[in-house]
Amino acid sequence: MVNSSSFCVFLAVLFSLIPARARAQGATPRLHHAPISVSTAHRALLITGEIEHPELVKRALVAYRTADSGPFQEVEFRRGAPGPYVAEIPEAAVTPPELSYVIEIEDMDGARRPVFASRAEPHHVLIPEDLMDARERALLARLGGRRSVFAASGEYVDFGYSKAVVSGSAGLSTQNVHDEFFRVEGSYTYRPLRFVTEFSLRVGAVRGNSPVPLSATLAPGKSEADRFKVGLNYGAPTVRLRLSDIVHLEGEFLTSVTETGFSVGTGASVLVGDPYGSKLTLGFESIQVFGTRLWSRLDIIANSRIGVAPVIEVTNMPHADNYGVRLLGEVSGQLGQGFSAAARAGYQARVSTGGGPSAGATLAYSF
Amino acid sequence: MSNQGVLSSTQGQFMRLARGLGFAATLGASAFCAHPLLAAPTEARPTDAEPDSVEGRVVAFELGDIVIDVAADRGAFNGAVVDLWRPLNIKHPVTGQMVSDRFLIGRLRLTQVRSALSLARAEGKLAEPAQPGDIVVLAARHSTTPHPAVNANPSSPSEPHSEAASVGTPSAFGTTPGAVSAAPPATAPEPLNSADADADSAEVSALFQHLRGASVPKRVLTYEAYVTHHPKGKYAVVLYEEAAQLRRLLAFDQHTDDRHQSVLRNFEPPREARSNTPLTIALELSNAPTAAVIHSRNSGEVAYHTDPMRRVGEGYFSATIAAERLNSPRLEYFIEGVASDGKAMSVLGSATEPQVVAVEDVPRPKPEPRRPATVTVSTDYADWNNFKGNDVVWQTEGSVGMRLQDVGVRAARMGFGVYRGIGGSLDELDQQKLSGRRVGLTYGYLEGEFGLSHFTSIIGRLVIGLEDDGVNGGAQALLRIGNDRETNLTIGGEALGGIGLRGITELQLATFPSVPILFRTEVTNQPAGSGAFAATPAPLGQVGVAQRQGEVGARAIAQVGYRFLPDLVIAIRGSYQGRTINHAGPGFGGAVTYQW
Repeated sequence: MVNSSSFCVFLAVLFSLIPARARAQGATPRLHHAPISVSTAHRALLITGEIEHPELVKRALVAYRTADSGPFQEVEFRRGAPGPYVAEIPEAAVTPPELSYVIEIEDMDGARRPVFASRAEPHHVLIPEDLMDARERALLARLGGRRSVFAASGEYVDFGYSKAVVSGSAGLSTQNVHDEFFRVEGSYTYRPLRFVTEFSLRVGAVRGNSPVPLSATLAPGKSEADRFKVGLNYGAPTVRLRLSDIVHLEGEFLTSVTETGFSVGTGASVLVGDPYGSKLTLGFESIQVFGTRLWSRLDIIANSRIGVAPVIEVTNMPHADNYGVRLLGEVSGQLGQGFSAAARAGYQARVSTGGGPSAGATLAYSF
Repeated sequence: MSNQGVLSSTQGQFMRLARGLGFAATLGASAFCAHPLLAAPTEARPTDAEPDSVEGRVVAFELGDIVIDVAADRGAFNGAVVDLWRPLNIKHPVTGQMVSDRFLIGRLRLTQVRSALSLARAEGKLAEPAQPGDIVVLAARHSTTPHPAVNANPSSPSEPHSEAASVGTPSAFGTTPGAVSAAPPATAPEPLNSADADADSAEVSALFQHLRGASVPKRVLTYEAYVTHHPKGKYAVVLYEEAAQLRRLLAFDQHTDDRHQSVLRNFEPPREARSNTPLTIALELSNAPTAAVIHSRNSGEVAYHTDPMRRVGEGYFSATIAAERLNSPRLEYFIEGVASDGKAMSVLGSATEPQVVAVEDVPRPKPEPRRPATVTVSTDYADWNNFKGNDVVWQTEGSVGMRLQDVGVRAARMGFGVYRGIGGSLDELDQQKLSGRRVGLTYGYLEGEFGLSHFTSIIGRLVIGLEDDGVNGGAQALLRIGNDRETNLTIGGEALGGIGLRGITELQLATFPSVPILFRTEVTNQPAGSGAFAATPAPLGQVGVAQRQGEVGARAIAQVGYRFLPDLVIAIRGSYQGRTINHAGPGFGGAVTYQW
């Protein structure tokens, strides 16, 4: 027992002499590591290092802080993998825009000395904010923090008189039909401003007259005299997706009832440019029975409050026998307090010798 | 030059280092062996004088083997290992006498032993490639079995002895200390016996023991420290000389091999950066230079911007790239160290192969940059037949457009137009005296201009419109030579459904800023250029109306504008066109352009 104790004491003395011997030989502990330049936000930052002469080191520390004026926190290097030594800065401290750290070694006598950077001039690590977060924040600031938009619009469209084929006792003949309709619509839009930039719900109604094709089925209870009266009550959710800063894709699914019954529709458009500024929009919408339209629109921001937008549309809506062309111009403006208004006017026809005017307006409030 | 002639500079340095290391090691080994506890049998050191050694020569190279003349008749056997020595004969530059010596450069293993010759292969890496004439020494004790002396020291089972007595692996400079201890007696000092061991020897012995595996710089510093502390010591002079020699060789080695090599020890490249956000880059260098610099440039920059790096720890250097130097899409950089002589050394990347970090634009709540926008309204009337009213065109067009940039999508425009015309073939109009056929198109168009360069762009236009019988369309394609804001030439063509074809050449002169001038020529069969029309019967109620396709004619237009306001230009135009010299007429028109 005595021999065993003596041996332990001997070993203890021997091991205690190791640092002294190493120091006597001029050895200086060092810590090697790859300095971090950039790290991921909200994820623990691991700093791995290699310690020369660990027998001379009481502790190796990473002192870090998240703001220039904040106090330093400390974490110790410990043997681990990845390693050989690793210090872990907790994820709560790894927040944008940056983190700074310094590495210090505490000698066996308790004295500390920096081995990488210093507390006066710590090493800065860029912690980039997630780009989507930054984008959302920027867009929201640009929109005045208004994520929601209520809008109401109305439009009157006159294609002039179009020839419609009718079936009578004398066979097929043509009849001039005042080709016109009006549309009212209300919508709510929410702007997440992320990959899903916007989603909205539109509800509306269309009523009018149109050269309905002879092949179209008459609704139950309707007479031939009502053949040219058309209408649509619809609701359409819409989602706008961000493909890149300048390319957005919008899709909609529409459910409706027409003068003949239930119908569904779909539509899509691609927006090239600033989604809340100058852009080119190419789109289509197709609704069972009611027809199809293809359009292009070029939004040009004239100044900080006014925008202009020519629109070209090719359509056989509402339930017409032939396609026509609509040439429209729209002027929009910011009224302040979240209100905006737009007015549009144009010309449309199904043949070049006919046609008529159109006019419409939109009032929107965002909050 | 013979193999035993004057050595090249490298060989000379190699030999000096071998000699230096060898002597130091021999000295150390001698002192080491002199230590009473560590003494190893001196017979472990092979010498030429040993009676049991057999000496031969490398005589040739055959099929990748080294042919030596030590064979079975001289005691060689398959598997035996022989020492390979490089003989050296040098004329002393001072005394003029020839000095001969030889140096161990490696070992060979005999692979096939015949009666007169043997084939051998290098055992490990040779310090220098074997040459015919090199000396091979076969010692009777050389075999594949461990040397009995390895276990001669019970207190230190193998390492001390193996270093002191065994023939080591040749190093880049010759041999390990242990290897050189086996040098021939021509250079080996007299072995020390235990009686000569004194305090100096013991200390030197410990010194060499301590230096096992140490780098050359550390050896130099240790030798010099010894000399400093023992200026009158028994081994002070020789160690001083050794240190001096090693210093020279070290400098030579660094100069020839590694002086400008990377000394990067630790570096984690930034995986991304953000525009207008400072980025700190730091690294750790071994054999740290006196300073370091970082060179960086943004995409499109030719020259690098140089920033000195701060020393932020032993071997660590750091630099912060200023925020204004970080622009998307990327930053290129490389780092150089600065040696003590002031020369730059490559550390990380190079000017031709820099490191690259992607720089992402940080979205900012900035207002959209204002794009130059233009509204244009124009009208043009052209009479093709001397005011007879049977071959005329009147086209009015309005458009809105915005300009984005020179290269890439330069501009987008959208416009509406009304085209009305009367026409027919020359025979119908001039010979048969038929009325012209009315054609028309009410249309809208979307036009894009794509800049291939500042100087060149292409323009495409899609047209959708209405004819008398429904929807029709068309297209236009143009090549613009010269920037649209400067004098430029546009060449292209157009096809309009139901109207016809048109070739266009247009010269826009920007010579006089206040007076924009335009010259334009057209080759066209419009307005009655549609071949399909010729096959269709006359529209209802149009009796005596021309039906056939109109002939191709030419048109020349000159337009002169005046800039009434900086953003407002009003222009008038005149034209002359004809399908023959007799079937021709004048035209006129005007345009208003407003920009904001």
